[in-house]
Amino acid sequence: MSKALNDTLGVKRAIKHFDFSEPYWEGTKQKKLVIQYCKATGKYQHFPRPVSIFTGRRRDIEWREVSGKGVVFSYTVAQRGTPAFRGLEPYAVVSVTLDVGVNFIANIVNCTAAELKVGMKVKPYWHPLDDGTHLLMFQPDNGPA
Amino acid sequence: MGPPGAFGLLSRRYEAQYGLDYRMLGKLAVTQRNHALLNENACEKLRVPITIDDYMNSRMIADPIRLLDCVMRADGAAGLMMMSRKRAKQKGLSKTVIPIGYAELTNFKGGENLVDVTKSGHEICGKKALDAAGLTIKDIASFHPYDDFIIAILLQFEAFGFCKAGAGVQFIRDHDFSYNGDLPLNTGGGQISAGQAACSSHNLVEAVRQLQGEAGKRQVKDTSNALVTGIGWINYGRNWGSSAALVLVPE
Repeated sequence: MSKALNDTLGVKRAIKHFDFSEPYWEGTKQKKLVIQYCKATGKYQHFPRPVSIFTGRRRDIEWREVSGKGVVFSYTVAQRGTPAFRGLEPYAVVSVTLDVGVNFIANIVNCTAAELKVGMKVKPYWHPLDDGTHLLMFQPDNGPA
Repeated sequence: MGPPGAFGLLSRRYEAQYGLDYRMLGKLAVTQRNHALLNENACEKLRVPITIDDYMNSRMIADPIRLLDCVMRADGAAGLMMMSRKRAKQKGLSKTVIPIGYAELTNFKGGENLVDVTKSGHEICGKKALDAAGLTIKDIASFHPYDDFIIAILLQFEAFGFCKAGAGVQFIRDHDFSYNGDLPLNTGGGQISAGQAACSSHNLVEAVRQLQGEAGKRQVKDTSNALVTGIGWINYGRNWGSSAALVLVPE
């Protein structure tokens, strides 16, 4: 992999919001990562669901802001994108284990193919969308906070 | 991201946990392709010999998923007649195959948030199906796993207990999966080399043909049983969402 990776910032995104994921999207307006936390078990979950996956109960869910920092759990480099991303290859998709113990799948930017490794530290990159929300992407976290 | 991307994430994670010799995935691709060459019903476009080097050099789709990892959709159809023994007898059908063990599992580890993506529900439903059949994995005479991507076969070797977790590459190295080898694998070419015409029915139909002794040039010697599997969709951050296992024996 000698080629540089492309970002996918130019892609038009039309993202459907479910009612139960609205707090997540509200958070992104301020570039805050707000995810679901189960009060009964003390565990985080992502992606948003109507209920706690640990107890099955709606009332156990609350929303908490987290740092968005984590390490790469896995990655893939698309050489043949799905239609909306055609022409932007190669670009990378990462699964990141956030420091609160959930995996988050997103694009990664500001990163070369040579840098990209399982276990590398990453931090959020907030990509603005037309509706005022932001799309969470990741970028390498090279320095101290 | 699409299915190749999802399996790209699975493969890269497997590689990070255990190491992954991609040439051994190539060995599986070549074995299945050789079977398709012997299967007149396989998609004609795919009935071209390949080598492990061809596999390694096929273009990347979602690195590390290569073109020759991927199943190809194709036109086609598959059918099975299912009926009671009594009806089969009335119809004068002499060759019948009996499902003696079946189990499926959906939403494996659904109550956990962060899971080992190299593991799937097959580790549970595989045991159940084999128990129901009164067999162990070592008794399996031919294996017909669902194959949408080659890596799925490796993961199923481990989940079904043919070998331990992380030992799939060595297992591939140590065995001959040809129709006349020690563990015949997807002897009709699998979906990847026969074409994905009617989803997993290709592998099921092939297992039935083998047990009926009607597999022609690719007929396996041991027709005492066959293990057929199914997998369904990839969940966000997980392995596949649905796992199924079916043990067949000839009547």
